[in-house]
Amino acid sequence: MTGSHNHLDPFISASSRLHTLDARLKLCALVIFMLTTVWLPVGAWAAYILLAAVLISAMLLANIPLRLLVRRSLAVELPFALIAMPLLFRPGGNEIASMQVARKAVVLTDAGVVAFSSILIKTWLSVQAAVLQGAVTRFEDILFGLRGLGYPKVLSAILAMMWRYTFILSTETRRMLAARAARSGRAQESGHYGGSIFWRMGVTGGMAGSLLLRSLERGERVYQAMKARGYDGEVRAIESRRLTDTEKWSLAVLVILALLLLLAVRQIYRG
Amino acid sequence: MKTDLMMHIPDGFLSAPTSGVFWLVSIIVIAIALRRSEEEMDERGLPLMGVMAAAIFAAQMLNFAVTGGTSGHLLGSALAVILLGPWAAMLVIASVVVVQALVFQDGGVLVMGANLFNMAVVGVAVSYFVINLFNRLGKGKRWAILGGAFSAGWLSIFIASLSAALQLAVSGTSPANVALPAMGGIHALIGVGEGLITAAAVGVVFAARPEILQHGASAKATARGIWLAGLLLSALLVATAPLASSHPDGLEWVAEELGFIDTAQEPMFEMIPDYVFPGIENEALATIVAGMIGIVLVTAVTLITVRRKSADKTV
Repeated sequence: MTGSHNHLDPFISASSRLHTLDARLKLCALVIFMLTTVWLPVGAWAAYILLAAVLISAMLLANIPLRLLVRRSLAVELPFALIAMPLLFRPGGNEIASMQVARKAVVLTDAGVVAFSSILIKTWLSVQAAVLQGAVTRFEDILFGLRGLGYPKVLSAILAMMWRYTFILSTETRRMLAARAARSGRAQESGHYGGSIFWRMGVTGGMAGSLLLRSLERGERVYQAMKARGYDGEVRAIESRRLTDTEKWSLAVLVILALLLLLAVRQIYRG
Repeated sequence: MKTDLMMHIPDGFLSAPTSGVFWLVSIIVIAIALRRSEEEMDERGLPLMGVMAAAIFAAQMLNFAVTGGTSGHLLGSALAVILLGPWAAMLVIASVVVVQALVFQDGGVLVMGANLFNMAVVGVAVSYFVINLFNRLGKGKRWAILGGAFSAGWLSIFIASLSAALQLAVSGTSPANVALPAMGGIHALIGVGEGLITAAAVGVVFAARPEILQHGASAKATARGIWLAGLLLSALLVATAPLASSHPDGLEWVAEELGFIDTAQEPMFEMIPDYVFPGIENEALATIVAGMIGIVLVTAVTLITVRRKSADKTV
């Protein structure tokens, strides 16, 4: 089982230590990394550089082309740069430039630039770490890791079921979209979409309705098939193995390193 | 451009305390939903919720052209409530949010508590409140079902966006007087799309399998807690929004008092205008040292991987 049956799956198959690592370790490391990032103060450049170096090293170890991973994180992050824009004009600090917008003075401040770039860097660190974890961990392993970390049994059963049918239902959705494109003429060049925007929404709604109806019926069938195989409403799952001492220690070391970094940053940046 | 992007807050946009508070609230509410849906649904509930979570996820791929290159699409909280009832809908939407964050980076991991709150708690509670209200006004009538579907779709999106905007404002990421009107305004428009699609979808279900709508949210009067929560959340957020956006400093003050905005940034901002840089030597030194450590680390890892690759080739 090398590839995935699911074309949506962001998992990238490769042979590396990161791929074979226990999913619980990867999830914990991800959360530790993200907590460290979010607790760093604004403008702590030294710490940002260190975390970026750690992250880039991990990406190199994953044996996956870097540009593939970076492209994914930028696609997630760039739209959000727009939302953080008002931070640039945050009051306080020195004026860098000012302009008149609608008879109001909009002042670009150095404090604003620092706050804006800090948020973008911190978001990139977190998003890139999450992209990496998604690329080196199969969904089945993420699920197993979540279970091992105390995610409720029923909820993880829903997730498992969901993942299995996502592939089937998204293919069905694609077929519906193809059918709509074939029938209602989506000539973008001429600006005609086959009807007014309300008509378009109505068509989309009809598609959503029939997709959900089919899925309700499919849910019934799935239940009957499970029933035929002896399902009694009880969720059974394989217990995950205990973490080895080495694994526990490496997590502890990670936590200590993160705390040390945060402490050092507090010392330096409080002046 | 995806129009719902602001509903999925990414990591780094909320402060740690804000994320923590919303994790706590979401976990408690979802735990209640877990217990209640087990009580209400029999053993067929589990496969149904799994398949429906996949269906809502897939239905979000259904898009429609708005204008130019922009397109809108469905979020589906209201639809899930109508078809499955509030408690099961909460679990279904929560599962969608979890998969989107952990697998597709659509919404952050640390801030997932806030995203769960906005979409699974606020979205579902508001939808249920509206649908139930319409159902009381015209029981089982076509106009009540379709009107309820449209209004639930619209209001759930609008209120959830206000909640997201307040979270951003409390975290100090975007001032309330920018975030609230911008998010609220955009989502008041997007919500119309959500409402119309929800109504059209429910229309199909009503025509083909009307009995399903009897099982779902319309019939159940057991979720009084959710009903109240939906009413209170809508009232509270609609009332706070204009207040917060006309007094953005007030919200910031509250946030600072409660420790939501990182206090470590204060000395930083005070330092600059005075042109006193007590930490500058430390800071510059730290940055240089960090840069050197970083370069050494990355170079070492590169060398190791390159050597391993060439070793693989020779074998």
